[in-house]
Amino acid sequence: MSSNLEDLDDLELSNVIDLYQNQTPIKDDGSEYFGWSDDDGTNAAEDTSVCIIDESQFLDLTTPIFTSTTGIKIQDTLPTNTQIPEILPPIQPADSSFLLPSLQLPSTTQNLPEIPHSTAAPTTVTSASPTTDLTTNSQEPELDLASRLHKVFLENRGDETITIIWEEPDNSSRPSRWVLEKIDEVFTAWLDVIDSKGKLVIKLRGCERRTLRSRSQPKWVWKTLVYPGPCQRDNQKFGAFVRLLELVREAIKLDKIYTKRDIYYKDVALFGSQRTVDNLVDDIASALGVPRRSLHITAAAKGLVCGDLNIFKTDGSIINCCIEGEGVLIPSSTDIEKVEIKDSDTVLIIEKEAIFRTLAESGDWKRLPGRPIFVCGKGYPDIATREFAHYLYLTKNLAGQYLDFYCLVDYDPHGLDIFTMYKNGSLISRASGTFYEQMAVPALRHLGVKFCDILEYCSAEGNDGSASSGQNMEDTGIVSTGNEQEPRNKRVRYTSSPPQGLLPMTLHDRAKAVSMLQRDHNTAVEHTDDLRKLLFVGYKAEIQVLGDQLFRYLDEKLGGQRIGLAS
Amino acid sequence: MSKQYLTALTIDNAHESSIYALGVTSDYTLTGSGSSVIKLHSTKDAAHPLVHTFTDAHKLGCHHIAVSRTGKRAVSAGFEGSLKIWDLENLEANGEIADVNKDGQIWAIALSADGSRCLTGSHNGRIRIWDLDKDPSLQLRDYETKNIFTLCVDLSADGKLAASGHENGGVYIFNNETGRMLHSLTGLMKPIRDVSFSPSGKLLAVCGDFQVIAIYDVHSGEQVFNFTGHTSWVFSVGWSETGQFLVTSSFDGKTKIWSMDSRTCVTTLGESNQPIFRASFLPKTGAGENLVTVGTAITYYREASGAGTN
Repeated sequence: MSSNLEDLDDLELSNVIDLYQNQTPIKDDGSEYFGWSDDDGTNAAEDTSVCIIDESQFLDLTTPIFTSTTGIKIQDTLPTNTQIPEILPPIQPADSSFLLPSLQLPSTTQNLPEIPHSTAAPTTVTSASPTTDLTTNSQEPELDLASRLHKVFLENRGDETITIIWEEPDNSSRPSRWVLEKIDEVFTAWLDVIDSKGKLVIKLRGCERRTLRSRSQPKWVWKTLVYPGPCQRDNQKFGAFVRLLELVREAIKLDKIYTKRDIYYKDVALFGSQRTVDNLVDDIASALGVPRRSLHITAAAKGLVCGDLNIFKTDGSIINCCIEGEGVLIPSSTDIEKVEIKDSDTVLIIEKEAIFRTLAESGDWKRLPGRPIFVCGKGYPDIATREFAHYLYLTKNLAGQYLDFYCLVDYDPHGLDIFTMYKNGSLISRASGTFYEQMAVPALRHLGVKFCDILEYCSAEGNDGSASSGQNMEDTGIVSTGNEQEPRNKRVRYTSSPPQGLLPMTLHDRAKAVSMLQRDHNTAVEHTDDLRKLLFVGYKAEIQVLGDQLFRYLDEKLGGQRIGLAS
Repeated sequence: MSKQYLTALTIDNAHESSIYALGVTSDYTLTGSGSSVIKLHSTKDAAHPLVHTFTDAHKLGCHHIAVSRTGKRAVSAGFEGSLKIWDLENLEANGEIADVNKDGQIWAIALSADGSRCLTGSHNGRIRIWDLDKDPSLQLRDYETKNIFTLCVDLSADGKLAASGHENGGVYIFNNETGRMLHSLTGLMKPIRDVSFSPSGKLLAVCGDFQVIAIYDVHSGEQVFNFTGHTSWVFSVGWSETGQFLVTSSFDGKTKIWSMDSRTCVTTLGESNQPIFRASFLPKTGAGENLVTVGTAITYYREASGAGTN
């Protein structure tokens, strides 16, 4: 303990950092836990309510937690906290077990040096504090040493409050140096606060996520971070914020680009969920008025491309997308100098990676009509994939012609939604208007899988629809007690021969289909009819339903489209 | 023995999209599709002209229509989950049932012979009976099944029995007088697309993705016999007025007529392989049993004179 005394400030700093990093991760949705869920309206209100808690109320909230009583008392005190009630019911049975160790142990171990500190450095202690300490001591004799120490720790805090407000107008051309300065501002203030035992309040002007999806003007909401926060949750929130700034600083200094996924994996326990990182990054970018790229953070590359083309990157490298067996990750649009398409005149956008890989590995695309370029967004496409598709849409091939665009998606509501996303742009970017033109491929055509394709290609093996049912019947099940028109069908169960490999529509699929119908019923005729058929027939199918017919299917469909046989 | 049928009329462009719903009275042939309108073609007139259109019936399209035997009332169910009631005498809308329970959206519907009772089956397997003469419609019965999507329902002609068919192959018969389940018919494993009581109310025809038309005795719950011959999902089954014949339509575009006397398929219709979503006999006017089917088009069939009519 005496050795600890030698460098008090450093010790305190490490203790504080420990407080953030050794938190017990709460098994809860991280975004809700941090108050950064989508409905920011309520959370913003919570945040402000946290700010106005004064010091005395703050003590009322925290002191009972540090008594050596059982969890019952903690449960009594929790409802007085404005933030806890929403998460109280699920954790109630377990909270005594997780709150007590996680709160008491750090306070016991970390605050022990406090008494020497307060006596040895009387300049920072107000004259009133020893008396307060005595009175509380006499009033509540059951307080153990650790809790008393913690009280001293809290009461010794000065009144100084440093407030940092980030509210910068949008300006995408700010240099990284400027971002570094803003970050250092926070670190300096934080160290000052630790030193003076004051309070740090950081206000970020974020954009309410709800307004991104509607057509209205973006609505600003304030995200407030307080250190030291009145409850553990605030401290973890602040810790996540500081850790992220640290990583951004590191990325800028080393001139590296981190993906949001990288950042999450740097400290899974602290961030809790990918959503927390995503929201924090968005908030910081919005508050500083810079694009995400200026923070040296990107989304992970997701899309794949394979085909007869070269991508010239801004750094001078050339990506040849013709490599057999694997696709090439689609780079961010800012990294692309230009794209050179050779003699392909078709682009086939594929929903699923598995299908993309099958086609790329076999090298069959070289024999398909139009020598298609395959683009795969792995489900719902990210921005880079859509921008790339749009770029191809505006690019001519060697023969000086624009390309034809087709889309191969699952026959289910999500597949059709992905098709409309490529074709029209997503709802989110539709709202902000500016991105809409850059990311859509309006000429995109829905190649399949369609309702009629399932009939045509997925009937029982070796026939084209007019199968005799006899082959597909097997024993068990329905007893035919009456007429024996075909005596061998006695005591048979009938498995439906055509079409095979279908899946039933779930209630979720139905709800999705109906909401898409509500959205699109008077705009797009072609896919709404498919949605109704999905609902009525009650079966969906994946692209894989085509099985080994896939190549024949693409050959016939793409060929048919090219000579104008398309229906 | 077989029947001979001729295509009397095909109306290709009746609707912009596939036609899912069909209801036939002696005056009108009602059809519903992916478009928002319900169209009424004349049943009697050999040219089957379009006589009326219910505009803005269902914004997202209509998937089921049921008519009363008296021809005075029809109900239609739309993709958005609501049910509308139509007065066929004055050709006007006459109310709607919007199910308050969101998970329990209505899917399948049926009407009693006089049109006063409506049977609905919903997404969550609830089977309800409504009194449509009251305004707003009064719920009379609420049967709970196993929370499996209800694909089809039917009421017997006297209104005493109700039947429902579910996505998992479950078929239930309810006694509406006691409010109890009479039978749970087992043995079918695939989605039940249609259930239909015979005109006498003694038999229940069941069809679905198992490609067989199963005939059950309503009172014993036993499967009496079945018809085999379809090679794809069977979407609808309907009885002729006398109960002598059954008409079934399937996903591969085939429409079959079955004789209950000889227990054989007497006719197979359909050249295209486009799905036929519903088929129905027309109310009998002459010697033959005429038909109408819907799928991509509305097609009327006439029984060739001189052929055996049993």
